[in-house]
Amino acid sequence: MDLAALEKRQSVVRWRDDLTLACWRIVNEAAIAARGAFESEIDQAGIYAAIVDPSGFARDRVDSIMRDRTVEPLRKTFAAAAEDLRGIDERFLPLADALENSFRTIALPSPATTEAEASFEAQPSASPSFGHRLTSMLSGITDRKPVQYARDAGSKAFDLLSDAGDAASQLLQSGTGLHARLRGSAGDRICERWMASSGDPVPLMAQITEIVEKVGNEARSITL
Amino acid sequence: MNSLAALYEPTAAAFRGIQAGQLDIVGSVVRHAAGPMKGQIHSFLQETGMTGELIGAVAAKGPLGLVATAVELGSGVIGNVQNEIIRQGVARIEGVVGEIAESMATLQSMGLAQLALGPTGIGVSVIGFAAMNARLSGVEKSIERLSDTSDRILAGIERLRQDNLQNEFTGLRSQVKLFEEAWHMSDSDRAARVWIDTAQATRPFQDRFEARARELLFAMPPEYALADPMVDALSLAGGLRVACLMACNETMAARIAADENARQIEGLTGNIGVNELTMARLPESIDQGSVEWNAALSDALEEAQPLGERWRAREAVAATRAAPLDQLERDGITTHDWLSAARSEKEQPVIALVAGN
Repeated sequence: MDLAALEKRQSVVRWRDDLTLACWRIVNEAAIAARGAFESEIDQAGIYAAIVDPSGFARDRVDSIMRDRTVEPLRKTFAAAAEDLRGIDERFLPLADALENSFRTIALPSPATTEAEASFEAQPSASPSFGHRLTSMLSGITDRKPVQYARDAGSKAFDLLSDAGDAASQLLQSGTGLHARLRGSAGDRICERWMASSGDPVPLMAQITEIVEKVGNEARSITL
Repeated sequence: MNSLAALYEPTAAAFRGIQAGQLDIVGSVVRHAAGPMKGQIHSFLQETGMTGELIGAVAAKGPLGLVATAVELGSGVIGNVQNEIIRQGVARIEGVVGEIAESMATLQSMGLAQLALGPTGIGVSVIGFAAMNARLSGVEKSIERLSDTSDRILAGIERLRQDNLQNEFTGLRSQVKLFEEAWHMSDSDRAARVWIDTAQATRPFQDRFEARARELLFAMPPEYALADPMVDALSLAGGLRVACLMACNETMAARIAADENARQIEGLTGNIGVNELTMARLPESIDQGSVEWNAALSDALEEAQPLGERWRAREAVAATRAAPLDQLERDGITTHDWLSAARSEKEQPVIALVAGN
């Protein structure tokens, strides 16, 4: 067996490990920051956000921070990793270039491409859903605290909230319950769209892992 | 040109170069680490009869609950503290076997203690039945130890038991014993026949251990911890076959067997890195995007790194088993005589065959 080739294959595996683990760290650190920032904004959630669309509230805030905290560090990490790959073997130069270029193909989770909106746009003639009726009614008040709103809104709002039933009533009486629901949505957003290993749309870390795996496997196969 | 009578100076030179950082070791090959000859092979290492005595002593005489057997030490379970444990353990038994402590110090100074004491070995196995038996027992014990880790692994172990794993180890031990007995035969032709038969009989063990390892490594989820001793057993079986073929001067067959075993091992673990070993250790109960997950990632990485490096070392040792064959041929030394010299060496734990014309 060609020892030099084996060493290069092993170097590629170590390179792949270092890059993947560095990306995990970056995304996880961003997620910690996103959770922290989300916590500081949770009181701003209106009744609609808390009860009907917690995922939308979480999505906007989580994604914004995640994008701010991941794009540049990941770009730098990919650039450094490409340089490292070039250093292992000159035959890897095209792969290193491909790695850097592939970074531009990564689709970051975005509020503008949520499944719910896409689905709604695809069926313009459909009757407005409960969520959209509530959106119209509650527009402009989402900055108000939910308990305060619940007191002010009166029976009309509660009629519309009938679908939410007793559970919603319970939540309205408990700021903690509402907050837990919002936190849960933020956590789900982080896990499902940013850090999961699979999903549709493909989560960020799944995209990164796939790119790194493909480049690593190509590099290894060159040395076989 | 090497001669068996003049192996000591190259060995001592290799030791000095490694200690000085001028040479490094990949598998059982010593290379120049710096200077104009950087990357070129300096020499080929081979474990000796002394290594066998060392393994036997640590396994059998390790006093007062010396933390682990020789193979356990080699397995990396003890990680960073292993050198200290070895040092302490050896210090305790040095009154009984003073030379062993010296040999251990030599191995430690070369960074070879883990390889030499572990199931992988250095070069080709010539360490005698007792030491090979200790290596096999170490592999078996590492499987037993996993019984305490999780129900899932326990279920995997139960499957392996039903798969007559015990019989596999017993059968492999028998082949090791036959290999050893042949060294003591007065008729070299009869000995050669035994070695050929042993090489052939060991082949199915090698393939079955490969199949078991493959099943475990590519299961969903993969059972890395349980697969590891299967790959060790595969490496032991492959190493035994190479040793058998070298013992009867079947150089080409030995080269092919070594190459095939190296490919089997790399095919199993070559594309599994520290990343996979780390992720497999992360508890699912911890939320991603949290400080706790970050800490769990660090802990898992710390545990995975020694195992990952051991896997790389195992691949490298398998890939370099046949490395000295060309040099031996150029030097006019038969593979049988090379192994015989290594077996009879009782002062140094490894000998080095210098690379050259």
